[in-house]
Amino acid sequence: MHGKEVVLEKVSAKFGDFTAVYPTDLVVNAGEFFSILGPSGCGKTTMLRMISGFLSPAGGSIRIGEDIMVGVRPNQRPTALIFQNLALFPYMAVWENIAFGLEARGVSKVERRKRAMELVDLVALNGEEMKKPDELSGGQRQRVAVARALAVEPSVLLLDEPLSALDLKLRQHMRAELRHIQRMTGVTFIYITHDQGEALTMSDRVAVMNHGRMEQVDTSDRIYDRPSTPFVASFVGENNILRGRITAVEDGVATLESELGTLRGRADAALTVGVDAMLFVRPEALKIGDGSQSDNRVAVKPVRRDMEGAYVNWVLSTEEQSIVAHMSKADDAGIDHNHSMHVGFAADDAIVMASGELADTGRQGDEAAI
Amino acid sequence: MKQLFEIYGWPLTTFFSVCVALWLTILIVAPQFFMIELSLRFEERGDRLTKIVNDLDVLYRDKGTKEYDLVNGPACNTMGMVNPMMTGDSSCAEFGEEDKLRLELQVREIEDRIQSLLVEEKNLKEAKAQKFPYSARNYTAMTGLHAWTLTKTVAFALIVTLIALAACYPVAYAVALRSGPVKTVILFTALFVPYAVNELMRIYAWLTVFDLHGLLNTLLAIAGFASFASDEVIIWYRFPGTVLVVLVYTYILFMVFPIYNTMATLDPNQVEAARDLGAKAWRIHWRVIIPHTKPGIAVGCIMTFMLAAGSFSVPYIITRGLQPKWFTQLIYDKFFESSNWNLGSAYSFTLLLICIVFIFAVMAIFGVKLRQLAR
Repeated sequence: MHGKEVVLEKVSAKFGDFTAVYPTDLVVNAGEFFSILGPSGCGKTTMLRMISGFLSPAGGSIRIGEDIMVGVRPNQRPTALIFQNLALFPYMAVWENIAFGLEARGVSKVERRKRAMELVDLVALNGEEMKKPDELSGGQRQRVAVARALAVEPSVLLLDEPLSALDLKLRQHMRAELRHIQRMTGVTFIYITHDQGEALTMSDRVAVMNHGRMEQVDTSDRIYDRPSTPFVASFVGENNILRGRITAVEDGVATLESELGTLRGRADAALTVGVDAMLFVRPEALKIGDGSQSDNRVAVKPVRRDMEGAYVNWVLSTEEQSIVAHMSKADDAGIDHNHSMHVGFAADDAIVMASGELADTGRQGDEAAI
Repeated sequence: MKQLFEIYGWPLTTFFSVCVALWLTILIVAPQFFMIELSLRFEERGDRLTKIVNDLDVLYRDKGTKEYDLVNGPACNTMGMVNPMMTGDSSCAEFGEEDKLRLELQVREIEDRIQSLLVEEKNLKEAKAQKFPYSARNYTAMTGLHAWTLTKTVAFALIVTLIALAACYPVAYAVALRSGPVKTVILFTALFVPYAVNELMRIYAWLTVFDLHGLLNTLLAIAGFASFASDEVIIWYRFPGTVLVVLVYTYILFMVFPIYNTMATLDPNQVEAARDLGAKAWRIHWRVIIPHTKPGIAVGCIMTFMLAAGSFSVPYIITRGLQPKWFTQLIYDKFFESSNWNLGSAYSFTLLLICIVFIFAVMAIFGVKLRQLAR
C-alpha cells in the first residue's frame, strides 16, 4: 500500500445559499497523517465528503496522486471512508465485513478469506473473525472498520471522527493504534475531529477550520505554540486572553496598553499601532509570585486552587477578568498565600494579535486538561 | 403486572384486565373452540336418521293439511289459486260423507306411520348418543374438486404475494431513502389516501374497468379492436387474471408498509459504506439492504398471503359468477347454503392450517424469529 498526495485547489461547497466551505487550497502529502480540526458545523465533514466523492464541490478541483477527481464516483476513487458511526454491516461476520470490498471486486472466497485474515492479524482481532459486529467491544468494532477500509488497499484513508463514540481510556489507546497502523501501511490518513487532543497527538500536520475556512495549517507544535489567528489560539488548548490597544511594535515585540497595565508580547504577524488587539498567554507560562523578574506583571487575587494531580490549577482574578495559571507542584509550594499576588510572564511566551473572532470556549478548559 | 398496578392503581388495572380477559374469551377463545368442536363432529347427511327426520316433517305437514280439509272442505284448486273468494264456489267439487271417511282413514294411516318413525328415531338417537361423537371425517371428506379449488386458491395467493413483493420493494426503497416534502407527498397520496378508502369501494372501482362497457373495452373500441354495436367485446370477468390484479391492488398496502417501516430504519451510512467499498447496486441490495429489511419482507408476505388466500369479497365481486369459485366462497356455501357448519368449520381450519404452515415456511426462508416479527 502506498499513500498518495491529495491536492485541493480553490475547492468550495455550497448548500443552497449557505457556503459550507469557502474556496480552499490545501496539499496533504503522501503518507501523511493529516487532521482537520474544528468545531461542529465548521465544514470539516463537508470537506471529507468532497474528497471521498459523496459530494461534488461547487468549485475548484481535487487531485489524488496524478488523477483529477472530477466526475469520479466514490467507489472509483483510491479512497476509503471510515464513518463516524463506523457503519459496519451487522448481518455479516467480522471477516466478511473486512472482505466486503474484495467481494465487491469479485475476488474468490478463498482469496478473500486469506486477505481478511491478514488484516485481522494487522488490527489484532485474531479469534474474533467469526463474530458479528454487535458481539464486539467498541474498540474492536473500531478496528474492524479500519481493517475493512484498508482491505481495498486505498491510497488515502478518510476518517470521520471515528473515535467519538468511545470512552476516554479507549480513545487514547485507539489514537496510538491508529497512528501505528498509519505508520505501518504508509497510507495517507485524513482525519476529521473536533477533539484537539486527538488531532494534536496523532497528526503530522493539523488544519484548523472555522466557518468554512482553513484558519491555519501547521504541525501540532506550531498550532499550539504559534497560533496564527485568535480563533486558533482560543480553540486549541487553554489561553488567557488580555485585551488592549497597540502602542508600539518593534523587533517583533508589540506593546499593548490595557486596563491591567502595559503588556508586551510577540508580534508574529504585522500589526499596526492603535488597533485593538488581544494578548494570548498559556496558563503554564504564568508564574505566580511578586512578578518582579518578568517582562509583564499583573496584580491578581486568588479565587480558587484546584489540585489537578500533575499540576495545580489556579483561578485568579483581576479587576476586569479572571486568569488561569498552571503551577508545577514545586512552584506551587513556594507561593506566599498571604501577600498580595502577581502573575508574571515573559514577552516571548505571549502572542499579540489584532482582535478577531474567538472560539466558543465553553468546553475548551476540559478538553485541554485531557 | 406489578408495574401496571403501580402505574394505574388496582381499580383501573383490575378493570382493564377483566375487560381484556372477557374480550379474549368471548370473541376469540370461545368461538374458536366452538368451531373446532363443530368441525370434529361429522353429520351424516344420507343416513337413516336424517331420512326419518325429513319424512317426519313431510308426514306432519300432510296430516295438518288433511285435518284442515276435514273441517273446512277441500280447497278449490284452480290455476294455482287456492283462495275460494277468487275462484268462486261453482268450480269446486262436492264434498260428501264418503270423502270425509276416506280422509279420516288417511289421517289415521299417517298417524300410525309417525308413531313408528318416532320410535325408530328415538332408538337411533339413543344409539348415536352411545357412540363417540368426534372424528376427523370432516377433514378427510373434501372432494377432489374442492381440493383442487383449495390448491388453486393457495397458488393464486402465492402469486399475488410474489407480485406484491416485486412491486413494493422498489417503491418502499424509493420512499424510505428519500426525505423532505417529496417523501411526504408520495407517502400521502400513494399510501395513506388509498388506505383510508374502504376496501369494498376499492374493489368495486375495478368493475368500472372490467365491465362490458367499462374502461378496458372502451379503450379497445376506440383502438378499433372491439365494437359495442356488434357486441364484439371481451367479457373480462371470465379471466382469472382479473381476480389476481384486484387482489394485488387491494392488499399491496399490507406489503408496502412493513417493508417501508423496516427500510426506513436502515442507517444510510451502511449504503454509503458499501458503495464506497466498490459494491454495485445489486450487491448493496443483496448484502446490506435486504438482510436488514428481512423482517419487514416476511411480515409483508405473511399478511398479503393470508389476506389474499382468505379474501372473499374480491372473487365474489369480481368474478360475477363467471369463474369457478374460490375456496373462501366454498366455505361460505357450506355455512349458509348447505347449512353444514361442521364441514364449513373443517374447511376454514384447513385454510387456516395452510396459512400457518406458510407463516413458518416464510420465517424459515428468511431466517426470521418470532421475536423480530413482533418488533
